Amino acid sequence: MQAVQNPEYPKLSRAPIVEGLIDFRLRPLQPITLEQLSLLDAQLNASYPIKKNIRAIEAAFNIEAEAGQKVLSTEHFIGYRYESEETSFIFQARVDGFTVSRLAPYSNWEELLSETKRLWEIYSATVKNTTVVRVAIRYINKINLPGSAIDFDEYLTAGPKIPEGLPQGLIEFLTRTVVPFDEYKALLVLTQAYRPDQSSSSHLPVILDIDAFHEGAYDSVEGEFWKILDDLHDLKNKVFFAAITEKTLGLLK
Amino acid sequence: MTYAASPYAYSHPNSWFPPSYDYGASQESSVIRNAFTNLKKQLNLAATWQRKEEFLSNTLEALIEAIAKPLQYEEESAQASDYAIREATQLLQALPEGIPQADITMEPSGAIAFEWYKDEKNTFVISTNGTGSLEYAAIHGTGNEMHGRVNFAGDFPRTLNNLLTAFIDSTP
Repeated sequence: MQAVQNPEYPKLSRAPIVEGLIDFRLRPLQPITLEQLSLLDAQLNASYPIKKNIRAIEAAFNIEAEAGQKVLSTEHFIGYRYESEETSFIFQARVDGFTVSRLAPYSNWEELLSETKRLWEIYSATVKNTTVVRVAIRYINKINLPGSAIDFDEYLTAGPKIPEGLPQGLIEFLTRTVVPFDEYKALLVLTQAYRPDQSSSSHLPVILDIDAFHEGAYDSVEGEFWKILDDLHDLKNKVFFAAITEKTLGLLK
Repeated sequence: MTYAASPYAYSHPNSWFPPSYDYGASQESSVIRNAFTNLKKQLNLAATWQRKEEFLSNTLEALIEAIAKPLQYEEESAQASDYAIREATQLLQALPEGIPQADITMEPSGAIAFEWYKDEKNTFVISTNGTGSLEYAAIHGTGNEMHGRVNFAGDFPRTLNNLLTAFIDSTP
């Protein structure tokens, strides 16, 4: 089935976005500390009243303790997660980066970008002297395909394939494709997944996860990376509409 | 037609835990994360994948030994910071397939160094100190020396991918 042909990206009244996020990775002049990040609390309290620790899951470091030797901790707290009252916006301030997520109901790119800029101003003023070395956007879509037994090729232009001659029914799939886009100077990770434990009798939920990122070195104050985010967003749209058929578009308009 | 683009022109995305995946906040992002975690567990049932996990486990043990050593000589050298240790772990997990285990040592500054040594004229060293960049230095034959610094955000940098792979593949 052919991908959506309209190059002007139609407006979707039932957009399937469950999360849109913007992520920066940083190279600080000095390591960023949790104490520094705690300074954000006072500036965020009103708009992000819920605060949680972010713990990194690392390989365990167990060193046999001998007399005089220190046993290293196996836990790493790497930042804080702030949630807005309605939990539609989530802001993660970490020692290695910064992520702003907008959960459903997603409104538009301008809202996510605007809130990211506002939070970045606060974050970068607090941690200071950092270089942005990776910028990414990631959009996770959940598309509910109608029915209980469907042909995925009617809805996805690059859906799962089972070799000919074998039974063509499947009960789950997970595909991941990494594609370079030289004109955007970006890599894009396209993940498609379906798992039966989420399905109901009336629909089958397919996840379409689009993660586009660009690596470079950008001054955190001058902000050349904002233009790159707009480009990545454009790339994301290109990929999304290329991944779905006209039949799927009809479900979302 | 789908074809394989040259992987060496780009940074090597961490195959199982791309950086963005760790920080999704929605339930659906957890579904994706768990799907890859479960996939990894299933693959580890096969001896081929167990070898890779064993390799990673051995390398992490070597890392632990290396960072424990300077504790005996605190007045002479700085301890590795939590940031450096975390970055070193990420680096080990990001190394491309086929790269042999490096010798791991502590530098007096507290940085953690990974060295691949063939002989005195063929050595490659990468070091990390937890600030999101990797420093590298290499001698690759008489008169052929290189050094530099690259950003590191979890994916193995393209520059190092090219240099280190070429170094490993070459005969001294």
